[in-house]
Amino acid sequence: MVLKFYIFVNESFFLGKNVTKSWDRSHAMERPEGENTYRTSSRSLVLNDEDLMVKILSSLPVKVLSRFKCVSKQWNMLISDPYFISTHQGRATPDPNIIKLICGVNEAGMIMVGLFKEKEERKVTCDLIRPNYPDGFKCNSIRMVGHPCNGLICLEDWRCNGLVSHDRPLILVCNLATRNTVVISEARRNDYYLEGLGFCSSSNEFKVVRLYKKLEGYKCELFTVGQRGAWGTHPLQPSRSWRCVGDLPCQICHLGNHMCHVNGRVYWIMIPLPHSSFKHVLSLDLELEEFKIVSCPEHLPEDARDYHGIDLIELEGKLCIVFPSRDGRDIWVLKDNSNSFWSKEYQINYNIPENPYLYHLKVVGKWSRRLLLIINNSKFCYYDPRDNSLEVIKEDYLGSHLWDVSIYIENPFYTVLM
Amino acid sequence: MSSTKIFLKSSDDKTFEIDETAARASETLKNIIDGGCLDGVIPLPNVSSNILPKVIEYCKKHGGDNGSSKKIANGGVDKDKEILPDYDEEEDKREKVRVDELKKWEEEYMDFDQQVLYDLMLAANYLHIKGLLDLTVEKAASMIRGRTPDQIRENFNINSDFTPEEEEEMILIEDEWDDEWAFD
Repeated sequence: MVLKFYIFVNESFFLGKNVTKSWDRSHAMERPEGENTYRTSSRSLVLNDEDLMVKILSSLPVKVLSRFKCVSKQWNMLISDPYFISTHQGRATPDPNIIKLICGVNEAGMIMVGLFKEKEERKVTCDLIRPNYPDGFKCNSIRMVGHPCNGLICLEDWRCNGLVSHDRPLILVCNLATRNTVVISEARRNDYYLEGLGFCSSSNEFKVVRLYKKLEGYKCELFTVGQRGAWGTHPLQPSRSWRCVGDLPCQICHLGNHMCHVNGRVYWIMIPLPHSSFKHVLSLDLELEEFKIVSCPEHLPEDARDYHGIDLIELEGKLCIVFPSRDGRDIWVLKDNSNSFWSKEYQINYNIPENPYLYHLKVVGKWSRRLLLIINNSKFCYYDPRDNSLEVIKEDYLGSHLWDVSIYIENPFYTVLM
Repeated sequence: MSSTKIFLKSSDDKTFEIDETAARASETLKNIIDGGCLDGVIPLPNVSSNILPKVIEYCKKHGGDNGSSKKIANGGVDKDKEILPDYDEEEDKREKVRVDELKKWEEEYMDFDQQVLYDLMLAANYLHIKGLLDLTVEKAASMIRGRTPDQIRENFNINSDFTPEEEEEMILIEDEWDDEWAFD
């Protein structure tokens, strides 16, 4: 009994000493002794105020934050929280001087990331980034699928040694900021169309979409990609297999244009049934896993061959449809998803005397109030909608192989898991 | 326009005087004033007498430009600015001088120790003074920026609550991030 008491006293004495020691170092110099208790509480009040902490931490660069994750469980939770991530992204993205573009994957599996800097003078460079491929991975015919989604990209590698039909492709998901890469599936079949990634913010999950061609139409499957959850919360369980979410209720246009992901929904351009005047866009809600048909602002051509140039893109968080027009392109923005309200926001006039079908014009995205375009797969241009001006940024960038270029916003917070 | 005086009472029962226009820099005070619940002294139980003068100093500097001069100019100009991106060059220069001067003032104003910083941040948060809150948050962020997790724990008096295994894994993740950093 006596012994126990003694140990207790000794321990608390020791603890007490420890605490004062840490106080000595940081602030005993700054304030007279008596005020310390009050001061401590002001600091811990800030510490316990989640809004204030989010404010403080969200102005720090990601590299510093990655270090601060190990301060305590509370800090780790805060930094890994989806709300925090979105606050941080909101602050981190609008750097008006730099834009990053993913321009494709080379034969060696390196991702080509174009960097445009507009500070003082224009600088256009290209970085090569190698994802952390799994051990023993040797890329054969790798390509990026769809657009980047919240900093993650989807890759597909076909092992084609002249025997395509016998080989099974590998599907990978990679976060380019951390290079963390996982193989999400070795497909059992190879007669599918991989469409790309989407993100469901309510469940904080990424979903990979693919389609199977059936006799008539397509069957749609999803694969949920897990990611490392915050400490103290259960890590999200990735699904281990593809899950069918049903048949597409209509035909979609599959000529070189991908599905487009915007805010938890993915969209395709529909091909109308013969003799039907309904021309639409098909959407799949990744949370509810339900299909919905959105009316289009203009009539789509009846023949699928005429779909050249029609494209779905995301601009500033909204779905947009690009239509070829006589002088260039018209861009309609889907203002209201529930009642299919579109508004024609941009008209690109690119007057060239020749046949407009001889040039290829792709809208990549919007950057500092200008549209970024690629003309004839090789020339980067700005289009300023305010005065209809077109400015060439770079000709013959990476040769003439600019097919799928997307604006890329890095997000090192998501670590994909298998 | 001569302005009415407002009296603020700190948590330790000391009373301070502030112009109404200056007090309007605080959303909380503005609501109290506009709400008409103003009878004499506004008690601020969360702000002590060694912080309140600092807050008032900030409001004096910033309350004025919220109130009189800018408000008159704002009516039409703001809308035009949104449509026409290019501003008047002269206006631009004057604005630049004003901003530079304000920056200098802020630098001097923000010269205090860490203790005051957190008190001031809480006061700004409580009184809804956005500018002051942003300033203090920015300063707090710049102070912790270069520190190690250990220093953070010490500074904020946090005990690491990770188990040794968890800690090991956290360090692993950290290394992963450090090594594999692609862009900066």
